[in-house]
Amino acid sequence: MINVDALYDAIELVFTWHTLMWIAIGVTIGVGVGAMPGLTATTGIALMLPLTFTMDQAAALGLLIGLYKGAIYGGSISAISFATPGTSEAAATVFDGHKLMTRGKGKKALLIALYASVTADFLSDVITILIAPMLALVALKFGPSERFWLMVLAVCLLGALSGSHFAKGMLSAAMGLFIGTIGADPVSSIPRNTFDLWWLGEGIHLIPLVVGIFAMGAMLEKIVEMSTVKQKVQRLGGTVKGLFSMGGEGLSFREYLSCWKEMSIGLGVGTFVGMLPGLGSTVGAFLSYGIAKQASPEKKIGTGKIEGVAAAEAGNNATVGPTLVPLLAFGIPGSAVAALIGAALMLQGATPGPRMFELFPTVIYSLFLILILGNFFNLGIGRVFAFVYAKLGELPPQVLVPIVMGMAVIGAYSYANNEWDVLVMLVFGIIGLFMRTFRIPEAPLIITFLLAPQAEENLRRGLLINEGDWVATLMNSPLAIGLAIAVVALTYISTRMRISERMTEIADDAEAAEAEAKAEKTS
Amino acid sequence: MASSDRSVGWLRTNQGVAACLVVAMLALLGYLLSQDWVYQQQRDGFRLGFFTMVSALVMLVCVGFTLIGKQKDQATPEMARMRGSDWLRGITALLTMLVYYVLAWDAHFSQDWVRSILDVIPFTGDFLIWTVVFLTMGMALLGVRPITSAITAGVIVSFVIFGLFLLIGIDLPQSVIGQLLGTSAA
Repeated sequence: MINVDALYDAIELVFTWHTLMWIAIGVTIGVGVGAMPGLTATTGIALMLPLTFTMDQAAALGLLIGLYKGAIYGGSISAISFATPGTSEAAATVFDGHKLMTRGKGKKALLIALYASVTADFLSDVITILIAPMLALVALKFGPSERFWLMVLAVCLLGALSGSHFAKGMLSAAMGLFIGTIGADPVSSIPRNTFDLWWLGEGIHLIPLVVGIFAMGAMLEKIVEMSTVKQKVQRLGGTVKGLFSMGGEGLSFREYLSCWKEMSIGLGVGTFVGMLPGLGSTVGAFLSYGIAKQASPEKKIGTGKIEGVAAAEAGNNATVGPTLVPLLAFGIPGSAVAALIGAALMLQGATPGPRMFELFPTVIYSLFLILILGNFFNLGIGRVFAFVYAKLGELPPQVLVPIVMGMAVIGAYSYANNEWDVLVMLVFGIIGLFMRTFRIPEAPLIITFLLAPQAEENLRRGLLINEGDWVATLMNSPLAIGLAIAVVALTYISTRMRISERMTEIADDAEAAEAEAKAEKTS
Repeated sequence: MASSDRSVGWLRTNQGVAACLVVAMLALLGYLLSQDWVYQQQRDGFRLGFFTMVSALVMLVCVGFTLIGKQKDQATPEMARMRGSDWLRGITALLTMLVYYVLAWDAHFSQDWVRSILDVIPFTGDFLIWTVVFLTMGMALLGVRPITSAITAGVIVSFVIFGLFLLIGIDLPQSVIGQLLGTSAA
């Protein structure tokens, strides 16, 4: 049932110069972040998150969602121009995109990447808008024990599907739970797990945690890389300059339509993958690319075809909207970016979850409108400034790293004007470096950290209702028992069948693609 | 993709790292078991340390699996590449960030000795000056050449960041240059 008043309010909020400006800024920064190798959508959002608490809800959502959409598309620019995907999501684009580039059809490759991204993103947003409210209605019927088990199931799924090692995924989730218990407990506000440090009494704030893990950790990794891997800056300036010259071969409408099959595959795969916790857009892109290649062998995808670029780009951008479905319907973020957008909503006073549709309908409608509008901004900004962004791919990490590190300090402090937050952020920076080095996925940590208080509240509410009886609390309905069995089954299957390793093999093709393209370039 | 190169030292393999983590986890568990709040029971029958203990135990089990699992002899490429000096480089970078923060924000973490040092350093609490210094030094140390490029980039980026945060309405520390320009936020 549509709340018409809330919809009008949302339209009034979103269609203001102020909000539209922040969507445009978000997309502009996002495409740049995506185009620069070393920066990801998650890093960009983590850095921008502290800025959002001074904004109104629509502007904050506009900035973050615009940035997310822009970054997922932006990765394709450097993937096509330099065979160096700006983000891992764009690695599948290298296969065909860079081959087109070397044949002088870079403009065509960039345009199909943009149009396929925007088409799949737009349609998957529509699916998100239709599905999320329906799932939320189902979720509203869940009691505390069902919600608790659903969170445990989501965490297990994240552990199983994030990274190459189930144990490492679960280790990350357990770390998040441990960090989430630092500070006052969410029910009786009694301090615990503070290591006798008074400044941990309030717990670990989300902003220094995410900025430390995602931004500072990534930059420290870059610093280490700079010392261990010899940097070779290969300039393709001349080729890039020709990208958007008047004489460059563009993309006809007929060519765009000829990719409908690949875009449809990307839309279907991306939407499904996006809704599942833990998989993410990289898997979406590679699965879509692989299926499209097998579905149409006569098109010879992989030899420098626009259909290959369309499949990969549709596959990764189609995950953008659906990744918010578990967050909006169940209050459970399915990816690190969804967790950060959920955190932004929480900073704005709107806790994500099924009740959000009743309590904050204006925020929900604003979010939906921004999801749709962001695509038009992505289309316009991506189309006009792609050449400028292609140059950004040449920005050396030696310039980028100190700037991002400085921004990380400012962001960590500005959130609460608390000097200890900066210290916390730096500590999590080194933890982030360790996690990257040991390939422990970061997303389960952040998501479990966000879920920890909710899980505890639900469990304790259940205990209060059942007068302290744990069995009655945890197994009080067939659904709760079913979810508990699903948790055990998933854990067993994950350890026996090594699902995470198989999923990572798909993502590992990214490295192979990059290496192949680079080898080709060198020869 | 993991590497199982025999030339990689044991300490860098999954097993080696996991062995170190097991020791850390056991120390953490020992610490937790010695804390009174862990056993403190609430009115709802919930012990305050329940989730903390569960998380510590799950961490121990996961690290244990990594220690004896099928991939135990493998090392991640990043771990195989990393040397002790790289960790040192990372920690130095973090300490540099801390020094930058302390100087630019005039932060002393309630420590008298930090305060007394800050009192003798000029321009502490001046965001623009210290950001220019930090960015220029950072870029130069990481290899941006010629130095004039690092200085130019440092100055421009510092002013852009200052202006951006001012625009958004986030307070940054007072600045001599900001006062001269009449734009100081704090």
